[in-house]
Amino acid sequence: MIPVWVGAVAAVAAAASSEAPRPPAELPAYAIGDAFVFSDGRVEQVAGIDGDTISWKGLQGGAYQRNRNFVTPPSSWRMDQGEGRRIPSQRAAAIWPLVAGKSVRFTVINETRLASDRPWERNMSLWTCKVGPHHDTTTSAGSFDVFTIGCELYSPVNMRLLERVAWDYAPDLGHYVRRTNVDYLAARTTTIVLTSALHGHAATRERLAALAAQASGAAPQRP
Amino acid sequence: MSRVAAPAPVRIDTDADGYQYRRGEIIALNLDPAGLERVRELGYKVVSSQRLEGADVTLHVLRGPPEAAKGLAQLRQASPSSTFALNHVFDPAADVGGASLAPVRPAVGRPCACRVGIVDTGVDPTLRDLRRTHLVQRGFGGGEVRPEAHGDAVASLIADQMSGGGASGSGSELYVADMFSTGPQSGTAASLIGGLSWLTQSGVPVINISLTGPPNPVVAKVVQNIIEKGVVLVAAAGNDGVAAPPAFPAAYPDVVAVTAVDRLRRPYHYANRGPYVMFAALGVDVLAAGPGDSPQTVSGTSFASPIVAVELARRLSRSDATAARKALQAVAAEAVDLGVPGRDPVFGYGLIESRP
Repeated sequence: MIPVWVGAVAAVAAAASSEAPRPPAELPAYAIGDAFVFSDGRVEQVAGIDGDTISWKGLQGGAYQRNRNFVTPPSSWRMDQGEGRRIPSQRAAAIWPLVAGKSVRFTVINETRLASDRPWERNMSLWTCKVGPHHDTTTSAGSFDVFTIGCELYSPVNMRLLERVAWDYAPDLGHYVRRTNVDYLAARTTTIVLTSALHGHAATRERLAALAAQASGAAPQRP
Repeated sequence: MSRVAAPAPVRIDTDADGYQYRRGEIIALNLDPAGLERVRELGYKVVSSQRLEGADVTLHVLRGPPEAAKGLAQLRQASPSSTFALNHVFDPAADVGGASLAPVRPAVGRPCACRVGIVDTGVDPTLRDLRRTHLVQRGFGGGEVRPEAHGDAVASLIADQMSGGGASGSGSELYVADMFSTGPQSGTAASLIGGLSWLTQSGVPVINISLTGPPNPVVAKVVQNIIEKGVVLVAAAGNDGVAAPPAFPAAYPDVVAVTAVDRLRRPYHYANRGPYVMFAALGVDVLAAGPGDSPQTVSGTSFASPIVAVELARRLSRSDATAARKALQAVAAEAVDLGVPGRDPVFGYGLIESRP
């Protein structure tokens, strides 16, 4: 055995660093199959890519679409008989590339219906988002240099603060590693943290199921 | 005329961590006669027992009920001095396509009479790059050598480095253990162990492993034995992503794990990261030889590790633990530190490039 290799090498490793300052972070680029596992056991896997629209799926269904600009709400979703779609204003895109201090305000048109034979109901929401300074953060998936993007949802009627979402976006990963939702109406805060992520070829259902079970502390289940 | 029974189809299962293994197959090390008897009493058939001098082990392949994973604890209890594991399936550590930059040929150093072994797919011996080296191949997946694009690329990159990019030979030798000789599902832990042992016995001082798979106690023991013999194992760090669990054999102690960077020295987007990463080398949008000598553009840590393997082989004429340690120190001293100063989980000690 040669256990001294690592220490011995450390003593002679070159010292000059070429670390560059963090450049602005570009929109995430995904590949089909890429998957992200979070601390509550949820799995978000890229099922399709159509321009800037990413189709996501979980291990147990629950498909939805969202723009690569993930600070905007899901652009379409289906659940049971119901479905919804959201159309953000063009201004939402101005948050990218991420630079500390940048902020944006945008509106989102929300349309929902309880079933395909029911009429669409429409309302509008107001969002503001601001990029914080980049900083290091560590999750069980590793250490990451992240930008925290804080977004707030306001009622268009009385400008009351309804919800706050904070995203820790890791440019090296191309996804967020932490998301905190504060729902002021329900007085509830939820945080999910990335526990692992797999590139498409490695992201089989079996591996994702195992990682999801580990993340949530549940017994592994066959998908 | 005698009838030859068709081989039973290979079925693949997944273990509790979602990794693939051959259904019902368990591998074991160094079972004594009493241990073999207890294994049989538990209902397992001993498919093969093979003494592997290079790895200094006796490898047994056992076949039992389909739910082999459940039987592991029982086997370990029956023979505590042996090591047991599932016969996991490994993958070549490569990505195809998605080139974002113009393909680039890695810089080459001086020609060397290096001796390098690889465990990979088979390679096409008629490739122009491979005619510059003395090539020896053997199949470990249950059949004859079967050339595939992955092995062609890895072997051609190594041969190019060893020949210094020249047209003539340099007295170098390349030993190829084809662990996928009967297809992807033949690339098992048992095939990997057989290949590693043969290469060690062949006397190569450096073995390149551009493959990844799960942690496997039997492979880990064999890797440890081979490193103790003074052979340097260089392995691709893996392409599962920056937040993926560690990839093996790269993440075993004292294996030289290599990540990939592009020609602008940026880390490969899908390269694994972790404390086990030791070096970085060019491995994105790399021009390598493909089937029929057609050039192929490849990306992945698979294609970075050959550069480090040859840089180490330049300094080693035979397997020797002391010489291996010195070679590693010498290569580390030449690493160009990237990222945060010192060793880090992204680039390890830094970038290794061949220099003329």
